[in-house]
Amino acid sequence: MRIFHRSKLLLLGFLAAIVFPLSGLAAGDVVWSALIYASAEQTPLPPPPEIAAYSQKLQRIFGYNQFQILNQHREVMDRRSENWLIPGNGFYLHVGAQQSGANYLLKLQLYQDQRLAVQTIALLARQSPIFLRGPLSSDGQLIIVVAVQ
Amino acid sequence: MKPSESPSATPSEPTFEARMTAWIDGALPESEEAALLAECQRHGISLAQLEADRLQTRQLGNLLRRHAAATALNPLPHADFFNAQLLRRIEEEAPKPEKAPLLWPLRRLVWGGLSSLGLAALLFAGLVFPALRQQGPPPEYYAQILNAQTADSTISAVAMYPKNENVTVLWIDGLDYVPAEKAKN
Repeated sequence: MRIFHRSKLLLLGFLAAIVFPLSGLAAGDVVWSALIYASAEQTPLPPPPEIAAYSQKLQRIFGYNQFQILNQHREVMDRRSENWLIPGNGFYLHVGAQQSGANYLLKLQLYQDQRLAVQTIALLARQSPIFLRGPLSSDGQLIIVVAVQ
Repeated sequence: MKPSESPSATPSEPTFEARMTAWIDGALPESEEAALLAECQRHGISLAQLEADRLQTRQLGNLLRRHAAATALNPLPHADFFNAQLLRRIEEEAPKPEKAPLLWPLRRLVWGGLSSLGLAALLFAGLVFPALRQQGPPPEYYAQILNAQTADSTISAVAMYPKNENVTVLWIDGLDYVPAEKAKN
């Protein structure tokens, strides 16, 4: 009887140790998304702090050296699924995010002039952002960044 | 005991050994027996010794004949079965090594195994798993574009995974140009 009681405690401790770390995987995550104007300048301005971590990659991939945030959104993922909008002038992005294990399943809808231009389903991983190459604008280009912070 | 061959023996005459064998078997003619015994005595073999040798040889012959007749007339039936039974009984009667007693009873072994498993799981959950979490996903673990659809054929969307950048790019072409004043307002 005593052995059985001890085994119950052991089993409970084992389950608690396994379950609690796993359940804390996605708690308090923030999915950050931004509409960025990228351009090539003779004397580029330093990148805003929000995109400082990505500016080097943006420069290597798209070839621009200056980045300005036109609009951005920080969504705290305190529910299983969230939806938000990044408005622009004639160009905006609708994001639907849903937890998928330790990652997020995104539904990205790019609208241009009230018309759905591109729709994509993506799996967003930690420390691995998604860049969307948007339309050309002025002397540069619009870029959308979605990342887990 | 064997005397040297008589120099007078010719190829047609029987040898000393043949005559001696015939005398032991009682087949030597009486006319030659006296000559054979005299020849033996000349070589220092007494008559009593000769008689004793003949008796011993006859007894040995009789014994061999009886034994040969017994094995020929009464062979062992089912010899293989007999051998197998004999081996089985030998094995049964041989002393067997005693089994070593278990250090722990089976029940304790089971609980010991479960406890070790639980301890290993606790160590993994407490030490290894947090360390893995701090490291985050491996660099090669990219976000993935699962599906991309465009409104019309003038727009294209292609997923790209730039090497060593750990980012995923959806490269969209064909969108309408956005004037600067419109984009920045």
